Amino acid sequence: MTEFVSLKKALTRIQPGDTIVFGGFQTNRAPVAFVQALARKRTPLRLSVLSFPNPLPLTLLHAAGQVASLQSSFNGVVLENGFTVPRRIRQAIETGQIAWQESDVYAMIQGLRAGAQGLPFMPAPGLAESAYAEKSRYQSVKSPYDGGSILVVPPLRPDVAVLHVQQADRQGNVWIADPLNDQLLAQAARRVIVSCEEIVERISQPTIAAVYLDCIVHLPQGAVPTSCAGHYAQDDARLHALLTS
Amino acid sequence: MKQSVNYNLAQLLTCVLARDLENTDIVAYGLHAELGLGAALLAQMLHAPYLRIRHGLRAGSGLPLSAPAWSERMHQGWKQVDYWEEHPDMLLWGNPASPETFSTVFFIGGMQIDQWGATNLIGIRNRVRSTKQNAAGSPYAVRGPGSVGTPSAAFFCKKYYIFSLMHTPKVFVPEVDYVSVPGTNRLQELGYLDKRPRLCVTPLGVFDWDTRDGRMQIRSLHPGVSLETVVAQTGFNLQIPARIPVTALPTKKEIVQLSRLDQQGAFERLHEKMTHS
Repeated sequence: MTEFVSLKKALTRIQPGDTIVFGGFQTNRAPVAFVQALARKRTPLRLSVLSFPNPLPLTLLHAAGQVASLQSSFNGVVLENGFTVPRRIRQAIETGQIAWQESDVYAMIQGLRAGAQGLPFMPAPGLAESAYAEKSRYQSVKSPYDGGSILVVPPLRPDVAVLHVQQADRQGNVWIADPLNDQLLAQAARRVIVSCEEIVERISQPTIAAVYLDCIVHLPQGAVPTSCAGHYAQDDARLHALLTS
Repeated sequence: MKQSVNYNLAQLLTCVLARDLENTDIVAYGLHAELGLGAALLAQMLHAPYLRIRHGLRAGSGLPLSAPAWSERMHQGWKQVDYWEEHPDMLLWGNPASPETFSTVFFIGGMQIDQWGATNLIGIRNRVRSTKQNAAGSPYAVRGPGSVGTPSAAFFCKKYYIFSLMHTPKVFVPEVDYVSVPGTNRLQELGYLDKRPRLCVTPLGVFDWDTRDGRMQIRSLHPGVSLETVVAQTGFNLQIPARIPVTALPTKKEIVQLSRLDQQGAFERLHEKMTHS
């Protein structure tokens, strides 16, 4: 059963050491208000962040000292003034402050699919001979059907996914105007926390059904300064300031 | 065909790429969309009306050059999208074994590009052992942005193009420090004898890997670029053909269409970036 809860209560669903993943892509629909509240927590959380790639939640949590490790495919966004790299994340990686693994985004998606389906691995052809195959210690298996060798990736099963969506209904179903990774994240994560712009009586065609979700927080403007399609545009100046401070 | 004299470098590179695209192509692109999207739109206008364009969240054609739809710079930006597709669906890529084909064409950049056509978006190796900055023993002098999906895109797409906004010995190195997309040497060892970048476009010329030993060769040099310059600006021995053509200038027809699809000066900005870096 999906519960409607306060922000404070939703924050208690995050445990120290959790692997956490956020909805949205680049500068779109990141659950910023939730993340800002999480960053203010005094308890050391030592979070492992999966980024798809979605730099603002990562940057805010890292600035608050709450990130122990990171798995990502990309660290940058294009803003009005050009390509912006979150400086502190780059420094943290360059100086070895946080444990870090980089992968191809397709391999990460295949990992989520394995996680969502409870499979021990998923084939991810296409990485052979890139540095990722070796660094991530991805293994190859022999296909029992055609005898060929195929690279396989381990499952990614985040402890918690946090999504920001346009609408939730009273039954706890949600509607997303511009779904990106959201459904897959909700399927692969053990717990799913949603913040939403508005609550309506009934959504006739939910993007994600209540059965996948644990709790919903009503947080209008909850993705600012990233964008939320149909509600507000991204704020490039604030994004730049937050990503480069 | 009539050649135009009023063109800039970004438009020239876009024309080179557009001429190589065809009706059966499905084009996707990432950062520096001006080149990839520009080339695809131009090809649609001139010789490949059935070419399809898919860019992340943007699918369809006939759209002007602008920011990707997810960036929502304009409040209604998301409405520009013909068909909203989810990220995992995009990542079905062009896997020839899959009935879903995301794209058959992709454009790839690199902090480093080597003689074998390998790219590196991962980082530059730390060559100084004990600087203060690297006290933690990080292997990186500079961390790159990361490869996003370029390794898998290069593997799955029928045609992939390499571009660089700079042509210097720091970018064009004998061997990349870290491999994002593997080059012809590694691919040949794996048995992919025909897999290689289709072309590489830079501010100095057009290059390819259609050579016996899989090393990069000059295909053409842009007007006014000397062989000495390109040799000096490349960190390895280029394969030099007996006769080096000059890159064909944009035609008047191409320039007319390019200015139609770019009314916000995207090519001009890219040109500035290339000539000042």
